[in-house]
Amino acid sequence: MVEHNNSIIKTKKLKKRYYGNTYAVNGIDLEIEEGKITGFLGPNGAGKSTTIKMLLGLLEPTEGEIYVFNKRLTPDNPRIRKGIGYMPELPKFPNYLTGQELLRIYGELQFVPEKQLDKEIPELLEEVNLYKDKDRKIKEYSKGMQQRIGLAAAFLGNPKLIILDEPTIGLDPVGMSDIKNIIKSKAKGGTTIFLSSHLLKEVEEMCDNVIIINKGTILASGTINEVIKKGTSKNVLEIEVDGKSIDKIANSLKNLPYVDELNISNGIISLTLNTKEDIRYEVSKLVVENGGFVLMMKYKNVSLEEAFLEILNG
Amino acid sequence: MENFSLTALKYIIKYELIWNIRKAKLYFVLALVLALSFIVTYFMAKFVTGISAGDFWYVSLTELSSWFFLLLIASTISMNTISGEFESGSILPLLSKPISREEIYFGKYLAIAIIVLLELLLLSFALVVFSYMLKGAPSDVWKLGVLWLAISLSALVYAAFTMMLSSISKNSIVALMGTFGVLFGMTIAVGIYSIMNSAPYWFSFFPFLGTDGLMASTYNALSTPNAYVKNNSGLGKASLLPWTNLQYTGMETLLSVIYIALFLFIGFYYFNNSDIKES
Repeated sequence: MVEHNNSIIKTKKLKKRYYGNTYAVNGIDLEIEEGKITGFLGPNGAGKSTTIKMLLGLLEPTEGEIYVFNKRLTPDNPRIRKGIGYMPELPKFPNYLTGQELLRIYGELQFVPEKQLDKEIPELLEEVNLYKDKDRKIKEYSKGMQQRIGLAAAFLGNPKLIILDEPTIGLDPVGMSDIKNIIKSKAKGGTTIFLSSHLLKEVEEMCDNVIIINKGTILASGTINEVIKKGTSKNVLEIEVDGKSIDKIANSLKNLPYVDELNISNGIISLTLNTKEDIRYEVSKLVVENGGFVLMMKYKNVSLEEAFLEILNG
Repeated sequence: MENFSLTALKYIIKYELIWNIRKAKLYFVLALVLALSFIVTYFMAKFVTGISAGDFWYVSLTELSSWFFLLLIASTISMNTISGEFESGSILPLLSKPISREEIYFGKYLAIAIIVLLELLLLSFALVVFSYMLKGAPSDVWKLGVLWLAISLSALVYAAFTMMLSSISKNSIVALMGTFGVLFGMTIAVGIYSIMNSAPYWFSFFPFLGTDGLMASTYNALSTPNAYVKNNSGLGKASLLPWTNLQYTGMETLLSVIYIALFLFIGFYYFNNSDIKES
C-alpha cells in the first residue's frame, strides 16, 4: 500500500461480513490521494460497491476504521458528508421531480446555500448538457440523461471529494464519452475523484491512481504505471527484421540466455524475456551478425487490462 | 445536537411534501372520503332522528373518526413514506446526504402529519358547511377545534403505525394491509371477547378499537353527548368509566401521544438498522 500524507480517505483493516462467514470486504487498507482521480477496479462482486457504501456511512463496517477528511467516520457524524458528492451505480432519483427541482432539493439536503444554488444549478445543467431538459420530469429522462443528472447532483456544492460508482455503466459510446469528459474537466479543478468501475480502458484513460480489489481484498494499488508494472511478469520484446534471413536470426536469438519463448508472426519476432533489463543493444548486434537489419524493435506495451488480468490470476 | 437540526428537518419536510402533493392518490382519497361522508351526512339528516339541529354538524364530523376513513386518510399516505424509497431505489442518494437518519425519519413523519392535518381541516370545513346547508346554523362551533384535534390525533396514530410497518417491511402494500389486518383483527377479537364477557373500560385504551378510543371520550367531554353519539362511541361506555369525562379525555390524549411516540421509535429503530446492500 502506498502511503500518502495528503490522503482524503483512509481505511484501516476494513471488513464487512454479510451472511455467516462471507466477507464482502476483508480487511482493506485504502488511501485516496487528494486532488487525484483514483480508479477502484475489480470484477463484479469484488467488494467495490460495499466499500463505497461503507465510505459513505451507508453500511456499517463489521470491523475496521474509516477516516474521511482526517475525521473518523461514525454513524453519529453525518455532516461529514457535506464535503462528499456521490453518484450511485445506475442512480434512482425521485422521478416525480424535474431535473432542476432535483438539483435544488438535493442541494438543500447537502446544505448548499440558496444563493450558491441559484448560480450553480444552471451552470451544472449546462455542464451536463441538460439545460434544455431542466423542466422535464426525471421519469421522462433516458438512462444517459439520468446518469448525467446524477453526475450534476454529485457536483452540487463543489465538494472536495466525489465518489462515482460505475458512472458509465449501461451507456452507449457517446454517452460514455460525455461522462468521461465531464469527470475529467471537474478533476482539472482539483477535486478528488474516487471512481469505481470494471471498465479498464475507462480507468486507464481517466485515472492517476488505481486500486485493484478482488474477493474483498486489495491486490494492487499505486499509479497506473506502477500497477501495470506489478501486473507484468513477462517482458516481451518485438523485433521486425529484414525478411531474408529471419529463420537464421530467430535461431540465434532463441539461444540467448534471457529468452524464454520466441514467436514469429507477420514477420515480427516476439521474444518473451525472463529479465527486465534492456537487451536491445545485444539483440540488434546479433541481428546484424546474422546478416539482417533491424527495421523496428520495441518492448510491447502492456495495457492495464492485461496487467489487471494477470494480477487477478495471481 | 449535531445530528438533529431544524434546517435539515425543514429540507426533509419539503422533500416529502413535494412527493406527496404530487401523488394522484392523495386527491383520489380526499375526493372519496368527501363523497362518502357527504352521502352519509345526507342520509343521516334525512333519516336519523334525535339529533338537534345545532348539534348536527359535529355529529356529522364523527364519521371522519371511523377506522375506514382514518385508514384512507392517514395510512394511504404513510404506507410508502419509507418503503417507497427502498422500492424505488431513491433511498441510496437520500441517505448519502449529510442528513442523519433521525432527521429523515422524523422529518418525513412531520410532513405526513402536516398533510393529514390539512386534509382533515379541509374535510371538517366541508362537512360543517354541508351540515349547515342541510340543518341550518350550528351551535357551539368552538367544538370544531376540539374535534379536529381529536380526529387528527387518531389519524396520526394510524400514520405512525403504518409508517412503522413500512419501515419494518420495506413494502408499501404490506404496510397498508398490515395496518388493516391489525385493526381488523383487534376489533374482531375484542368484539368476540365483549360478547362473551363484559369489556373492561381499559379496552378503550387500545389503539384501533373502533374509533381508536380517543374519539369516544372526546365526545363525552364535549358535555352534551346524545344517544346517537353514545351508541357510536365504541367501547367508551360511560357507565364503565371510572373518571370524569375530562380526565378520561386527558388520559386518552396522552395515550395517543404515547402510541405515536412508540410506533415512531420502533419504526425508526428498524430504519436506523437497515443496511443498504446492493443497489
